[in-house]
Amino acid sequence: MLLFHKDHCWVRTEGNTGTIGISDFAQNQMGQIIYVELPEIGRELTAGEEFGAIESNKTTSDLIAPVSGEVLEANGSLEDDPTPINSSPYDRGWIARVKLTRPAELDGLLAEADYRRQVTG
Amino acid sequence: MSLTVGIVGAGPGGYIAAIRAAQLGARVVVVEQEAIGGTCLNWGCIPTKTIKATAEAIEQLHRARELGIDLEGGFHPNLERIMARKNEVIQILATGIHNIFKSYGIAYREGSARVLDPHQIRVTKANGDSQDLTVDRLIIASGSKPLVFPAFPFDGEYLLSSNDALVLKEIPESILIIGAGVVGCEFAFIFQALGSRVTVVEALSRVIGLPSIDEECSKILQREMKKKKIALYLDKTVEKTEIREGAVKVTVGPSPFLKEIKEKDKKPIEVEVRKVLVSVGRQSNADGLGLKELGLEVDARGWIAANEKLETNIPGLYAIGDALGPAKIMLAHVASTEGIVAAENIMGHDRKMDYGVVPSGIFTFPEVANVGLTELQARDKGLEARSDSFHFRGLGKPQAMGEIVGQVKIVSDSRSGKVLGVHIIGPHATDLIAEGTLAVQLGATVQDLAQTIHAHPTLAEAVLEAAHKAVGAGLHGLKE
Repeated sequence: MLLFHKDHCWVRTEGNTGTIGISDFAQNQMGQIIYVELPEIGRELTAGEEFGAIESNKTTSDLIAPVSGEVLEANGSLEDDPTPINSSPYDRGWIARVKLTRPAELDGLLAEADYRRQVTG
Repeated sequence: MSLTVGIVGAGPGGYIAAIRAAQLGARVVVVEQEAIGGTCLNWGCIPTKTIKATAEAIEQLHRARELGIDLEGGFHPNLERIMARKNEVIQILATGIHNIFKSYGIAYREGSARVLDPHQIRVTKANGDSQDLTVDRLIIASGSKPLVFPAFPFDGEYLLSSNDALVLKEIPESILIIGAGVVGCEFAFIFQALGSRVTVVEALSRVIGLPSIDEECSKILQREMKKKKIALYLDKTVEKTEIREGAVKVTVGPSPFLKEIKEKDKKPIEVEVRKVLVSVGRQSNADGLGLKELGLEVDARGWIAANEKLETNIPGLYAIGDALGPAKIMLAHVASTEGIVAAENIMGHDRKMDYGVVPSGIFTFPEVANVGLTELQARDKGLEARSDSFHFRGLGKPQAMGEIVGQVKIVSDSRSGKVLGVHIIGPHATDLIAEGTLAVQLGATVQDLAQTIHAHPTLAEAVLEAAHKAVGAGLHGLKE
């Protein structure tokens, strides 16, 4: 199941691993993504804190970690072609995979409908 | 009767001091051991910017398709011609200074100087001939040179100083740069554009980690390095270099500045490159002048002590420029201003040097420029400060140019609106900073900037937009 942080990143968990990306709403707001700065493998992310940046032709924004965790993998293919973030934000546009260090944080995240209500308020 | 002013060093400090003193009626003699224009013209500002112009053209050519140009057959940089052009530009500017000197009747003596007493300078030419000059006042503007780091002595072949990098015969296939300060970062982007594989090792946790540089500027610049595939190692130090079979094996380990070293960071990283550029700072160039024997006050590293009138502890002897060391900001335009202040004081005026409003420009891709305080520095001073930023990509001109990376940030006093600092990263940042410098110098407010009409379409509109945000809301931004 997808869970959302209010600052527009989602996480999908499988056991102790979480996959992170940005929401469809966020990619839509940003417009065509031209660069995403991926986190380094081994970096420890803290929920609510910046872990990279994303640039569109209109704006730039920090990526805010939805959960705390250690980066296991980053979607390196986005470095040369970040367009899947626009075309497939919940699948091919994933940004990083982390080992969850504080799984209890998941309880504080939003379900898709709640996130959508919050951002379109 | 007019005063005779002797000036040791014809860099941007010394030659400006000479012109100003001559304008005020002094008889002036300038002694220079190497070449008119000093480090700035021969080894610093001008040659690097000349080569940067080529690097920028290469970057544009890489964008040919985007700009609607079909480039058939490709292109490649020709270092011989790049260097020849660099030398031509130096020549044009050097001739310009010589002509100004002639027009003012300023005497120029080539040779190394030794200060025998505050009124006697011995000038020794390369051929050994020497001549003693008698002066009434003396200005030391002897400058600085690349700092020799004992572990990595320059050999001009594998371990390069910034000077060596400016006389390379071929573009290195790969280069590792020790130090991501101003010089290291500028060279990183230049070499990358010329086609070298570039690695940068920095002991601090960010590039250009000076307190005066806004942290977001460092962050954005680091991201641009990533985009250009410049390998950047932060919080790291070069432990050793081994030269073998035409290459340098560099061992990179954790920075000595780290408070705690994590297990995974302990493992050394090995990088093999053709050249290593050591850009870890500058050292005084005053040795040989005999200043110690005169009893001139210098600090532990040999930097000369001078008061705000640029007087040293020896009456009649002034010092300006890089010779004063980093505490007095080692920038060409600071040296020139000090030169004016020293010359005017010698000629009977009462001038004090003010280091409070000094712009700085860093010629990376994109450029970085700043003046005044960062938000952090303002808070440390007990000021209630706010920061307002505007991204260049929100404007027409950067989009038209296709150079959209970066932002303008204005730091202002939350209560009075007074502009405390301006921090720019982006296209032509080093030119745009002039407006911010004037604002800080005149004590202008963000309201003043917001009410000033800025021409459209220009990059300077980013300053206007940031000012609008500070007084209410930006115009070219989504409603918040």
